[in-house]
Amino acid sequence: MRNLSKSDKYWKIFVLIILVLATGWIVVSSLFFATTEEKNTLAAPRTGFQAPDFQLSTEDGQSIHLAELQGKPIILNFWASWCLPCKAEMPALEKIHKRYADQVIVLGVNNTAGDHQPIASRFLRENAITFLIVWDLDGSVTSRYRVNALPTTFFLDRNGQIQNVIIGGPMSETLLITEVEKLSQGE
Amino acid sequence: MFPVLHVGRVALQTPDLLILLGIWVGVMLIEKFAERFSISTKQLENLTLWSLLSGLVGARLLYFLKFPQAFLANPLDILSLRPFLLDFEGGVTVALIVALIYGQKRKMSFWSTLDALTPGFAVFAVSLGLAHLASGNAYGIETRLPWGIELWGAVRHPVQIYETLAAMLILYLVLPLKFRQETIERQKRGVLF
Repeated sequence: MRNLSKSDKYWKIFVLIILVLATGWIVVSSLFFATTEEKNTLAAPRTGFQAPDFQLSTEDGQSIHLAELQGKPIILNFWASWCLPCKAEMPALEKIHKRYADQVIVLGVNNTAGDHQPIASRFLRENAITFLIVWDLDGSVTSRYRVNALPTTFFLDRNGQIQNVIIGGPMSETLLITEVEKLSQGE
Repeated sequence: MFPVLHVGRVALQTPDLLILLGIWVGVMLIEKFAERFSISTKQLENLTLWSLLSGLVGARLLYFLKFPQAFLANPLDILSLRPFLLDFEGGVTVALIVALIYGQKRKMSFWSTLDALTPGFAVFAVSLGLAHLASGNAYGIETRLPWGIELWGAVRHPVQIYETLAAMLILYLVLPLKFRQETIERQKRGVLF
């Protein structure tokens, strides 16, 4: 039979106490504390929260209010014309816009405060981009969405709740199709 | 919160970098102390390598099986090096199955192997906590406690910091450096894990 030294015994008792306390904490917190699900209440730029509302204009002066687009899932893509991955994923977003026009809204937000609008407009024309593009002239929406890197894309369900955020790119058409499917299935 | 690290015009995702760093340091630690648990370093190296590789392939395959119609337009995307098209849970499951099969084939002791891997798991847990802190994920419930942090529109428990501190405590407890060789040999296998 093995003899345990005093320090081994203390160590085992210590580990046992930690395990019991940890298990107790898990049980107590799951029974008595609120869950972290705050869906439909707070607006924040992350998965599970309502997408922060905004109102921006298109090039021809049409005002787009995010809240008014609710009812259909939205792909909200932040981009700039100097950003190569942003430009690389534009054709895929355009394909999704055409293929799922009746199911999903593709909305591009140009971070105009950090871009040059005429160059961005020319890029859209030259590449025949037809989905909705709005101009964030003072960068306030980009900043409210805490966009630290371009492109950043938010996937909103029909109730305006963020279901996924993809930082970076370029996103492929395949990825966008799966995201649209998830939004349509209500995942 | 520090989700993106800017290097010139390149934006690196801090959480992903932290997780990669955790895997790297964890694997180094596992290899360093494997012999103490009477496990061959080479076998443990292969076990982690096969698990990581199969996890990656499995994650892509399961993603493909979940959304096969999405790949119809671009079938070659199944080989894409982009990290987005991965099924995380599927990848972990495949990695675990492959690790079990490899361990069985090489006749590795199940509990001793888990003991040897434990310091690596602990390092990974620390890096995961830091990654959550960087991304703002795994956030806590609202609190009025003085150490609450402003996150996602409310003052919340800094759960990511609790998580990191707990993982650091576990790492300190399981670091084999702390144990004399005879303590490891005397201890029941699997206790460290």
